[in-house]
Amino acid sequence: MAEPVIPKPEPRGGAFDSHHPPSTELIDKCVHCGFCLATCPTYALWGEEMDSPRGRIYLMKLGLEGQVQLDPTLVNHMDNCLGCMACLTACPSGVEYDKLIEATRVQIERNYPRPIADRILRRMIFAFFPRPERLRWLLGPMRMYQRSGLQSLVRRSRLLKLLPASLGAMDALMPTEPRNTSGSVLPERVAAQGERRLRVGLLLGCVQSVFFPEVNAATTRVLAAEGCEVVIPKDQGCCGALMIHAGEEKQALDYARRTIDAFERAQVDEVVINAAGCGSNMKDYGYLLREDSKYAERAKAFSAKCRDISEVLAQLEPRAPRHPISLKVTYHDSCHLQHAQAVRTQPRSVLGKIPGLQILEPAESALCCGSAGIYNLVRPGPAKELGERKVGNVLATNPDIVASGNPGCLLQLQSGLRASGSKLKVVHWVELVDASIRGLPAQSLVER
Amino acid sequence: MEARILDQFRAVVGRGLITEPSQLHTYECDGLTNLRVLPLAVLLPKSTAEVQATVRICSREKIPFVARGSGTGLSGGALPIEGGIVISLVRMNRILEVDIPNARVVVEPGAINAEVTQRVAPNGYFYAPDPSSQSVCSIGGNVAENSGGAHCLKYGFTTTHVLGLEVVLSDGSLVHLGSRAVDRPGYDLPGVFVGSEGTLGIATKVVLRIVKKPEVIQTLLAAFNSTNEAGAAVSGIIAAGMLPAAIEMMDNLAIQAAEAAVHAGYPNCGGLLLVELDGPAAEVEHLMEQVGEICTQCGAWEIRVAQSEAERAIVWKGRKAAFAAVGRISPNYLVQDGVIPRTMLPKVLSEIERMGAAAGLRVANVFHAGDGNLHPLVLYDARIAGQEERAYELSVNILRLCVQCGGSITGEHGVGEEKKMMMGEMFSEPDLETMQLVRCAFDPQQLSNPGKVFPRTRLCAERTGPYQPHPLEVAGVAQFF
Amino acid sequence: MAGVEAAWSDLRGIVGDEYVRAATAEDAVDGVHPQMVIEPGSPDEIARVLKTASGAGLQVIPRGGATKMEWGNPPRGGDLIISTRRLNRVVEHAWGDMTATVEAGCTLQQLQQMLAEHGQRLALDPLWPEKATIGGILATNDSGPLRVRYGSLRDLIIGITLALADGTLAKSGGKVVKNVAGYDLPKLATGSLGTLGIITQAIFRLHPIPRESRTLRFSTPDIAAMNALVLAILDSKLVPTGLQVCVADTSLPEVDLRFEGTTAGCDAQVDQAVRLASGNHQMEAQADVWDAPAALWSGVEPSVVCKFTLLPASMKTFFARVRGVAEQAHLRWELVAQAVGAGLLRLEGDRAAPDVFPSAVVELRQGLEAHGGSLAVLRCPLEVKSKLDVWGSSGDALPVMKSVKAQFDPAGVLNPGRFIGGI
Repeated sequence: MAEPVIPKPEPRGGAFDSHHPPSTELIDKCVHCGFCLATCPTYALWGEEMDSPRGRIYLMKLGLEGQVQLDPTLVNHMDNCLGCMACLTACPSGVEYDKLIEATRVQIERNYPRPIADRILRRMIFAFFPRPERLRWLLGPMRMYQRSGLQSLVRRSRLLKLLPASLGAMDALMPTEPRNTSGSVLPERVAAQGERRLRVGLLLGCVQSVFFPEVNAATTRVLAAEGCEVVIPKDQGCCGALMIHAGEEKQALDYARRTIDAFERAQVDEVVINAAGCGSNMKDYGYLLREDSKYAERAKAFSAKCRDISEVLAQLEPRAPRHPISLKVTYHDSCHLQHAQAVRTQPRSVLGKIPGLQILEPAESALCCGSAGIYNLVRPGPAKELGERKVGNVLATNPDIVASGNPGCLLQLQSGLRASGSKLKVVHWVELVDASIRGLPAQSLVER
Repeated sequence: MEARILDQFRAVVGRGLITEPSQLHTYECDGLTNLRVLPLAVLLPKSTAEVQATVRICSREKIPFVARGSGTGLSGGALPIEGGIVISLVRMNRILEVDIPNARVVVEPGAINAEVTQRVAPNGYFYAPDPSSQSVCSIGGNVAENSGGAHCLKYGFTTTHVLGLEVVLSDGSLVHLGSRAVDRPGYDLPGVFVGSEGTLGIATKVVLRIVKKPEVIQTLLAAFNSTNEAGAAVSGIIAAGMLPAAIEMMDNLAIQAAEAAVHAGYPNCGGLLLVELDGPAAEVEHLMEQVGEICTQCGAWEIRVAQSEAERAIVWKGRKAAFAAVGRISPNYLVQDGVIPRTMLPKVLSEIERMGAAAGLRVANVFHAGDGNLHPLVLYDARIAGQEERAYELSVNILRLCVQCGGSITGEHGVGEEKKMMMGEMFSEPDLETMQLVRCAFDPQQLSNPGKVFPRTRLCAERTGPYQPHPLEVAGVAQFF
Repeated sequence: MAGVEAAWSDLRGIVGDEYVRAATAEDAVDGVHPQMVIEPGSPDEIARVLKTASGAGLQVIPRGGATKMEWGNPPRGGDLIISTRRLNRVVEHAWGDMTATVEAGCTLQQLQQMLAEHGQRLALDPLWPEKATIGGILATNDSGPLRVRYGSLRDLIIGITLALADGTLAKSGGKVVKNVAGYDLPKLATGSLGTLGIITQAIFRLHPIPRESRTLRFSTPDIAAMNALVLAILDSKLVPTGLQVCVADTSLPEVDLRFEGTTAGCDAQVDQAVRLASGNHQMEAQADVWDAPAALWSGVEPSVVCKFTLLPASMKTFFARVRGVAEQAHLRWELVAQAVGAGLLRLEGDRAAPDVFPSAVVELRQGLEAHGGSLAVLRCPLEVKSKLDVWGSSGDALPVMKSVKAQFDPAGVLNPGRFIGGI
């Protein structure tokens, strides 16, 4: 099919070209009040105005006015942004910072020549992460690296300190004993148990389906148990979240169209997503594809159907009986749930229906864990600091288990807890619901 | 700035030195964006010793400096000085000591206001001054401006709660003003330092008093058809001999903005009154009934009492977000901070309405009705020719009106750069000269945030000083009398 | 002396002959005998008098109700006493705004009487309200038990007019409670002992006169129990308007507690307080327990009366030290302290006592200053004053204080030498 034609962007004598620069109208909403400084992770780490939402918006404004160019300084501060959207929650003026930073990132990827090492790293990331089949291919070598003792050797030898920090980060994030996924391919359709209440589609996700296939399995089981017919289109792929959050506009839009096509064919009432980053992106398809005449309306309609798994479950009266799970679980709010989608109460209300489960709240719950898409790979330093801070807050609540709603957070929390010497397990919170419905003993969750 | 001097700064703060132009731009203003000056450098010291060393260099090289906290001030107090540097205290943000039995907390100046309360909340205490920006504003900034907040009607201002300060003077020397105990013999130097807007030195440690949380807090919302009626209720409450913890008022425009931002469920009315009573349970219950009666007598058509902590929180969230929230209903706005005697409220509010209509501009009103501290938000669109100038003029006239009614040009935001030309409306030459004697005692070199607060800088050995016209004056909008 | 003679004549010209008189022995201040006493009739006259006096090189001692003239160091000199006796008006009582403007020579009692007409008061209960004037109370930063709820003068004053030595009459602050325009000179003037300027007028925030008042008194077995009870009350949800302790060498420590407000509120708080204080003995309490600070000033001479400040939790340590020092020096002692951490101490002895007062003061002061507290000698026999440091240390802030004095009164006209550090 013919692709929409993007007019050749023209330079404007400032930092940005003429194709969708960060919008003046959106920037004007910022009144410079500074409320966002209180929740910005990079401001919490460094205390510098340029690495706060207010400062970044100011730089965008200066860039539009021509007072600042697209130079390494500007790019660095934009790259430093985690895209956690905590500022969206804090802002009293309703500044749509998410649209501003995305527009800026697209401009950067289009117009800024990154250093070669940077480009190679990004190429690598985008070659693997949106392609589950390639990620799966890595599992074998990863298992070998870990099981053969090579990983411990590398870590003990402190070789990592000599290599680029990103490689060190990758090593730290590698989940231990990635599961054998051969037996967990899900069927294309799972029938509802009892009377069907909803027909839903399920996004499998890239990182989720490779590293946490049990989460998709648990999600499917819980949905089915609650009377949902679950359709898992075989032709789905990456939703494009990582791409758009990194400014790779063209790739992201391609993936968006493909995802819409796949789920449209499935003809479902709602599209369920159990990865916060993916869900927030898919709810934005209407905005992303607003200028595509073939997809604009369809994207809007599609986005209106997208729900996080917690939203779906919270709106359904629980049908399957819940068996008690006597555990203290510290729930970590993923940024793309609590800020980007404003979903906070739903996971808690669903978990709250499990008898015996005590939900603990860590301090600084609005602060990002440092995962932030590919942030922990491209900015390993601050990601690690934030991860340690989050782990500290989690450990201070003294839980039996930790739960979250996003695979990136799961990887980051696991890595941080491991580094701190803790044996605490991190699960997707839907696994607790699944265990409760299946009557699994609490120990089985804690001892995995 | 000369490389030689930058090297000296770098030797003190290491990587805490910002010199790139694009980065410096982000420090060219504080919460007041109309006034902007590019600093030559920004330093982020991490300790008192680093602050002292920095200031010593400034003293030697005659470089003016401006201390900055979170940069949320609304009067340009942290506006850089031409040819000067900014010293950001953000990295000195620790809570150093918590002494619950004596109800004292010692903090660094970059510590966040709300975090002090958070730290002592488990012991049943709170830090009383609660400006609307408390989630992000710093104690150092609060000290500079003598910040108030909604609850200062009962609990007082920052100066009420600051017992002692460690201060770096503009020659780099360190002094300790006040102490942890009350009534230190000698001049009340903490008393004059708080509210001096950074012109007397840089506070590097602050001894704060914390207050026990009251047994009970009850918050009442009352809807009136007009701010006049609400104002009459306020007078009635005061006349009945009550001292609520807070009395806030919002007019319809402000209510709309706050609702859009926070969805607090405010009733859509002409004048909304928020009354908070706290104290011993029996006392509060009795008085709350009286408040309800007074409101009804004055025409309240809906009265709600918040039933839970969450309800109370959202009611306040709307009020505290009101300023920034008007960004949703207007492209630009100017917020003022005038004070009037409470009894003048009805007269002044209707006069503001009249003046706004004459200028063709909307004015949203949010204010601390209990102590007469108004925050008129003059709404305008800078893209429409002439509106910005008219908005400034209207703001100035509103402040002038406040002074004429026996009030003040600033209740809590400070004079800073923005309102210094109006000091002459409130004070005579001898008054201003006398105040500046303090300035000469602390900072004879005039390096610490020079040029702020006073319209004419007094040279310390003489009776008159050089005259610096304010942009408003240059624009022909304001005049110095 | 021709300059001085001309000055007296000018001064007579300003206020009128009948308001300038020669000083008598009673006008002496710590052994310093001024020549003249003048009583200006308005702030403007005060300013002009000061200007003339400074011009003639005269040194000035301001005076209100003359209740606290011996506080501070002996003056280095004093030619002229400027009395504020005639500036005794309540200029304005804006009862709807709960503020009052009052001249410096007005006594506190007179002010309170006027305010009471509209059911309001200045929430301040310092020493000798029937004689002490607003100016003097401010200059000495005096306060009483009400401060536990309402703060001290710095929390009640919102505006001030000062007459400087060069004749400038300067206003600061204003008529509204919330006001941050300019420097807070009202606070600077408070407690400045008249060394920066003569206060001619002050503006205060007011409070409603409470409907009811209830006083409780508890006797505690020892000072540890007394301190524990005080801290427990401070840490509770009670909101007392008076929390005071009376300790003496010959009696058990007593804790006085007062509640004001609605009947229901008072009743509930009294019940709570009684429960909190269980383990201590509740005594009969009359409202006059709140006069204890004033009562401390009379007794057997020779005596020393000091003001001390400290942290509330340190009371037991300090009081034990008082007991120790007094016993060793064979002195009798009693003290009255407000829970916020400020109190008065009286040391009494026999005729040999004056020799031991100085070292006793030094020892007691050391213990206090080490933890942020202070000890200032308010009254003692004149021969003892020269042997001790009346004020104590001002730490590293003295140079700044001296700079402030140098700016406001470069020629050292006002109360020279009487303040801390010899200012």
